[in-house]
Amino acid sequence: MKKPSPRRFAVVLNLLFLLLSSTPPAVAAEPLQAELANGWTIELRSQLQPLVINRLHSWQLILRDSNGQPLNGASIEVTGGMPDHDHGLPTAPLVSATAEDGIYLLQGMRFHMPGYWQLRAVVEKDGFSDEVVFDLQL
Amino acid sequence: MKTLIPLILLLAAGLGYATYQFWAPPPGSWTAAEAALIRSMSLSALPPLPADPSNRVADDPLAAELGHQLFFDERLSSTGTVSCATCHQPEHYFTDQLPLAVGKSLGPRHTPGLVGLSHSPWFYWDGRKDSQWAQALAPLEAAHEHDFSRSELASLISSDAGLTALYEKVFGALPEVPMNTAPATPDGDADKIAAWQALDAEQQQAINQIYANAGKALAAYQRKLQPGRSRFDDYADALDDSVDTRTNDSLTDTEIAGLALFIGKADCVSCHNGPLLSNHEFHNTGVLAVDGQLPPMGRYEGVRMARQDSFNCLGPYSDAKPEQCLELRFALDSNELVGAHKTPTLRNVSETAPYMHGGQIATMAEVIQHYNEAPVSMLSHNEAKPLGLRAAELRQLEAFMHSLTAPLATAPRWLQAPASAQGEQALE
Repeated sequence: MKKPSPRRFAVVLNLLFLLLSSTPPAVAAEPLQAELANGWTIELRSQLQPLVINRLHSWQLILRDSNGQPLNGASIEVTGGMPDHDHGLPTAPLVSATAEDGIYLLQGMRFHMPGYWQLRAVVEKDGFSDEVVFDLQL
Repeated sequence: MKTLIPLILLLAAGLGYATYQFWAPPPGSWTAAEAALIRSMSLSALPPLPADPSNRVADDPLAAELGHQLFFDERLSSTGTVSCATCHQPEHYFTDQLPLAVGKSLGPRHTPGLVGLSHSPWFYWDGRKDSQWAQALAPLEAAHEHDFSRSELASLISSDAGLTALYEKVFGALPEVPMNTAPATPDGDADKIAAWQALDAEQQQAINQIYANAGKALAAYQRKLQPGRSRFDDYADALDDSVDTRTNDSLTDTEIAGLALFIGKADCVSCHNGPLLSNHEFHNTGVLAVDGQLPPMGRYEGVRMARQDSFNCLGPYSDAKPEQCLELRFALDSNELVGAHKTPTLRNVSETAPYMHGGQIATMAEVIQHYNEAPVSMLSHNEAKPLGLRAAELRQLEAFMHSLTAPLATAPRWLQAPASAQGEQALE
């Protein structure tokens, strides 16, 4: 039986440093999206806009199957860190289900340094498990 | 002629080396990303003071008045000579110029400054407290600091008409407490613990309530202590209109070059970021332990202490709902935190020597040299990497630090002992 090789998608969030703004580096935090090995998709949306450092905040996670239908009952774990600095997130965020179909809440996120970050999401449901990696420049 | 060749070569090499070490002109312009990063460090970008849901009087003006009185009151000590202001001296940006704090006796840590600290979610060098009011309690009972006790504090507030009146305006009726008993606390020596255990539960609860409220008043006062605009802020704000590095004369060329290093090659901005030049987090930067001390576990232990603290956000004396205690709930507990200490603000840093959690490093030049070398950590690993800064660059970085000094944005009356207390003393 042929097993699909695990695919890792690195989705680079493009940053827009607003040149003529008086606010801190204002990041147009577009959703991060990736496809899992079995064709499901996961989307991460920051609820902090613009996405700035040093603020505790939440993200919304949306899990869909290959037909775009929302998926409930998955276990999702999100970790992150700065590969260039050899450290992880300064907090221990947690994912919980919400009342809405296919929508999960990632709470307790904080980025404490500007620069290149990676987020890793491990999705488990009904015996299936895969990890996707997102790149994020702050 | 031939004999001159080695001499000329030597001179050329010497000139080359001198140029390498001492010639480091500032950049001509900032990239858009650099300009944005610099603007993000300006006080203009400082968000409003974060609410503290665990302290319902955090922004109550009368609570700040009460806290102001308590902060400067030396009666809050076993010797009658130690107040918060003994170590947190307003004239030195609420530090004391000593390597290690001296309250009743010599302590194990360097006195941290208080300016802008109310923006931080964690307190103490190791983050053992999750609110400014919970932080304010511990030094009162620490044997090397005030060496006071919560029972004595409750007695003092109950017996001083001025303090009682102010307390009751802020918190309502003062609960009745046993007066002038032996010093009693569950966090003291054997005698104090025995005295505490001799009290009934209701008395203990009443004393704890007054103790916690005194901390909340001290926090309300400390929220007034905010940094003022420095030359750097004027420079950063002017970058709205131009990315030319000499866009205005708020900073000298040397300081501009230092700023370029700060956000670039020296990478100070990784941790010293945002308008307070601190990410309020915990890092191991390979600082040697204080002479005679074991290398401290830092935040690794601090987060455990915060979780167990009976005065934390989830405790019975907190005004927060459990769901509001997000920092505590999502606090990291990881081996990465072994030996990690809190990033201090760099606001007014040239006026707050010595440096580090144990005052281990005497001068700014030595601090910069420490980061330039990034020595191996005694415990766990040093997150910083060697920088390879040249002599000129070390000086430029140090020059930039001087541009961060400014008088506080705090009314002068908060920076001295309260006039009312002095007035009362004068009348006596």
